[in-house]
Amino acid sequence: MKNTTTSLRIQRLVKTLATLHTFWVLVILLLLCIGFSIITPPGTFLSVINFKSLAADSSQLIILTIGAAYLLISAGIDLSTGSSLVLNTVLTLKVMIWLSSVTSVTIAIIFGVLFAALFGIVIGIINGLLVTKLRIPSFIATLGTMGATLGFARLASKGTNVPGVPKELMHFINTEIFGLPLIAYIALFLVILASIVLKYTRFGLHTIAVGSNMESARRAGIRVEYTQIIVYALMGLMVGIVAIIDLGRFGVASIAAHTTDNLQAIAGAVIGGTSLFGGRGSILGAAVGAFIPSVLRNGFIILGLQPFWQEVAVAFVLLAAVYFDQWRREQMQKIESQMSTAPLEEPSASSD
Amino acid sequence: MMETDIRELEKVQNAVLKAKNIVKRFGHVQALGGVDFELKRGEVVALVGDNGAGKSTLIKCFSGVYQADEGEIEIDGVPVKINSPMESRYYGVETVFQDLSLAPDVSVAANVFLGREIERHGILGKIGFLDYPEMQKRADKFIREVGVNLPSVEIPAESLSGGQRQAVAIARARAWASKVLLLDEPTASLGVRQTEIVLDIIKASKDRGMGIVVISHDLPSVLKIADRVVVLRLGKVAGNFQAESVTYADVVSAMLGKEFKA
Ligand SMILES: Nc1ncnc2c1ncn2[C@@H]1O[C@H](COP(=O)(O)OP(=O)(O)O)[C@@H](O)[C@H]1O
Ligand SMILES: [Mg+2]
Repeated sequence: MKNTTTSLRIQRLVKTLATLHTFWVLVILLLLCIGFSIITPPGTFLSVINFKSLAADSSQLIILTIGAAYLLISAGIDLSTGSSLVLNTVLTLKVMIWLSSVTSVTIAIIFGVLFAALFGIVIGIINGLLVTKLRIPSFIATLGTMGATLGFARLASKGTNVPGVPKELMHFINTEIFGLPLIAYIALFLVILASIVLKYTRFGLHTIAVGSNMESARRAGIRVEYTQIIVYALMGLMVGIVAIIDLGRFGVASIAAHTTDNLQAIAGAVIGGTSLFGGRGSILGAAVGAFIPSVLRNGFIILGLQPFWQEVAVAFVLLAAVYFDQWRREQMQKIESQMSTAPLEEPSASSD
Repeated sequence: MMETDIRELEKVQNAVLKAKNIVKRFGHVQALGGVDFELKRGEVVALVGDNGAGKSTLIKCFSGVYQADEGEIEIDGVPVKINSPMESRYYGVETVFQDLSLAPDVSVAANVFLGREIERHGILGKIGFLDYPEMQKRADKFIREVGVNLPSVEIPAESLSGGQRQAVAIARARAWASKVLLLDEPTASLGVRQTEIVLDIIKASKDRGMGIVVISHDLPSVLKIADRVVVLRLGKVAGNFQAESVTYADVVSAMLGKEFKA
């Protein structure tokens, strides 16, 4: 009887911590928005136009954050996100330009989209293979791909922005529906889909199990490496989707952009309650968390601060979020050790 | 003397699990140095030995966690190669590992069904959607069957106490095992009453014709249910006793490497 109440109490505590977490993220987000509304000139931060641009910016980051959250939940990490995004935009645009010179623009766009998705997935699979087959720690493996993809992007673009995105793609991507940019709906759709997959499917369960305890997952017959590779591929697919959105929004493949997207995506996920140590996380939380770097960036730009300040702020936010995650873990472990030393029915009469 | 024991055993029919000359090395460490082992249907073997004797390693060779470097394994008289935990389970062998092998962030129900989840009916099931209500219902039943009441099977495994986790691991193995149950220190974090529950589970499984191997340091408890005691020492079989006639002194001297007499 005693054990029942203890577990129930623990369960409630865990739930409270989890709900509190999302709550606090929302509070901080709200405070940030209020703060920026007050300190920016009227009609700048708090305006319909800015709201739309914020929605579009956040949407791009949210899509990357979905991938980052899946990876963190599976106890992986991807530092190459931003660089491979740049390479993806450069190559996809080159493919589109070349195709539209030999066929119709529509076909060029369709194949461009397929190329972006496929290329993203290939980079993801390469990351996955480096981690699983060559057993390179994910941090180092993706640091390697980060360098390689950025190098290739500079080579392929000769170091300058590549213009020439088909107008049709730009029109399509910048469509608005009920006053919100199309890409906000795409992001929302992907968040809901990814959330459902994580909660209700075998792949979702296996992702969590692999991140929670890899050896237990393996012993349970889960194809651990396969699952990891798929999660990296998923991250790659998200990069492909964002590449198309980015080209459509800005009309160029910009070589200097996205340098901190990797950290921002990881920060978004961790702020949203996803653990850096695997096994735990929420896609919805990550999506909410992704607003924090976006709002910071947006507010700083309006304030006329150097955009580099945003990088500094995001880095601090990331460190704070990771520290909080660590702290939460330690609290859990304390509770756990208290519980395992308190036997549930009778004091142990030393069974050894 | 030992040789005669083993020859005796080989005469016995119906070995559900049989291993010959199992060798397992980790780099320079030889964890198992040619182990012969046999388990009959409905037989409970207590596997004992000092820390580092190779007990867990032997069990892991049967569970497919490790692959033996040398030796043969037969299940129900059929030579098999157990290359993965999946294959071991396919042969009806289930294991309660020393570390329990639960995924802490995953719900109790999902832990019980991990790797063999129940899909939903229809199209959704085909694309990988799982029937969590059904898994919860069955997991709850499995756990009740081992005499434990959990507040819920939907809570993550890490929110359970040590004893409850052990119960979940045992319930899972018991529910899925059809031939062999391997238990690595299943009573290590349990109190007296819970240990009794585990012993009862072992007895009931034995009566269902399961072959059972129990690793335990708790000799008095394990002797209550064991038919045979196998002693490992430094990766080799150092004793093989019928439980009814064995004394603690026999077991202890075999563990410590003194000459033993059958
Ligand atoms: N994965 C491993 N890598 C290296 N050495 C191992 C590994 N597993 C077990 N060993 C070694 O094999 C020997 C037997 O270990 P083990 O089977 O765990 O013993 P027991 O369960 O009887 O205490 C020990 O010397 C141990 O250090
Ligand atoms: Mg052991």
